[in-house]
Amino acid sequence: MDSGLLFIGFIVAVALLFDFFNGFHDAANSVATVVSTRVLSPGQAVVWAAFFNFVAAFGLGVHVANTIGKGVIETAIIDERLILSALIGAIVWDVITWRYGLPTSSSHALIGGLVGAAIAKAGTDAVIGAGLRNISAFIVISPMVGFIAATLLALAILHIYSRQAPSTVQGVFRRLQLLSAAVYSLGHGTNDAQKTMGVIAILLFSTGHMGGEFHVPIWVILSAHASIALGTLFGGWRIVRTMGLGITKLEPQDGFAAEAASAAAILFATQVGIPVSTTHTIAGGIIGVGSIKRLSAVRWGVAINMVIVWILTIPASGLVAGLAYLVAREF
Amino acid sequence: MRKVLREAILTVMTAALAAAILLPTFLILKLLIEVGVYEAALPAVVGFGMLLAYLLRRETAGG
Repeated sequence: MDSGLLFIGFIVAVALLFDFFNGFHDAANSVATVVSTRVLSPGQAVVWAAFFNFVAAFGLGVHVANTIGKGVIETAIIDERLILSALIGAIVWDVITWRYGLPTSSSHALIGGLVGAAIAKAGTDAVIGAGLRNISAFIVISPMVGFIAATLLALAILHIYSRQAPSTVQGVFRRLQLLSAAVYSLGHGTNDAQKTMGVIAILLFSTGHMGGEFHVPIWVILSAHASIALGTLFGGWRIVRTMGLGITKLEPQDGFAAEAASAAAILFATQVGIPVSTTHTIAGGIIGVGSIKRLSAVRWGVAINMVIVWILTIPASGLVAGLAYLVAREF
Repeated sequence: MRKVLREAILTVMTAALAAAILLPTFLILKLLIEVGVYEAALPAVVGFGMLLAYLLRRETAGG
């Protein structure tokens, strides 16, 4: 087999590994609330989430993949080394944050990786300013929308159920949390898997293995969803603790409000083609439901540490990717 | 039996309530995005979120 094609195959495998690790890293977001409210056992919860991660392959479009493929850096400068360096930057940052149990964004790590490698190769002109600006705006918008929507929903629930017996409330929301976890996992599956699809598709396109027009092949869609679902199955329990127990104590109705609001925010962003952080969005939702009890119910120290890591993600992964590109260029 | 039925009705009603709250929220956001993500949606969302946090702080102060 031609060595160029073998190298592309290797990079596709690394991209799918990143996707697997994304599922592994973000499994916590999908299942933390159902686990912490004891609606499902950890084992049942990851199977539930992984199933819906995979099902998301069907019918939810590829708008985010198109944005990643064509909307972050100039396609003309993309080659195998640049994509590999971007993936290395994202994976290294994910491993560091996973090691310390910090729920950061694999998505922004990937975007940071693409930007860092592109700058190392061709300078700042290689970055598409408008695309990066929209993605950056959603770094703030997605958790804020998760916060607002979850707060409104939790307030309505609190009002309606104030006269119901606690056992009735528990019964209703234990069922509803299964639904909200499923919808959240659909959103997580589609938005996050599409980032990997975008990377693989642009690699194939820019190396002339796709024909004349940029598109996402069906085998790329299915393999990206299978990888993220497998990653979710293997789960990342360090982060489950931070997300499910570290920020605030959750009741089933809180978990439902946080998940339903975040799921809606992620599915919305997916439809408008914006790659958002599922981690940021669910964290915003969890903080929202925590803060309607008492602001002191939110462990602000944990929340502030998370925000610092979010801010660092794009520059840090970009720096690693840039260095990786400078090394890769020599070979 | 009555308890199960009551819980089932409440479950359906709550799911409908969630849709009734979330759908308009995202329709408003979509309108803002059509105006321009950076120019309109970001300050609007941040402003509304901060207002909500301020109101919650007043409601829950000392709680």
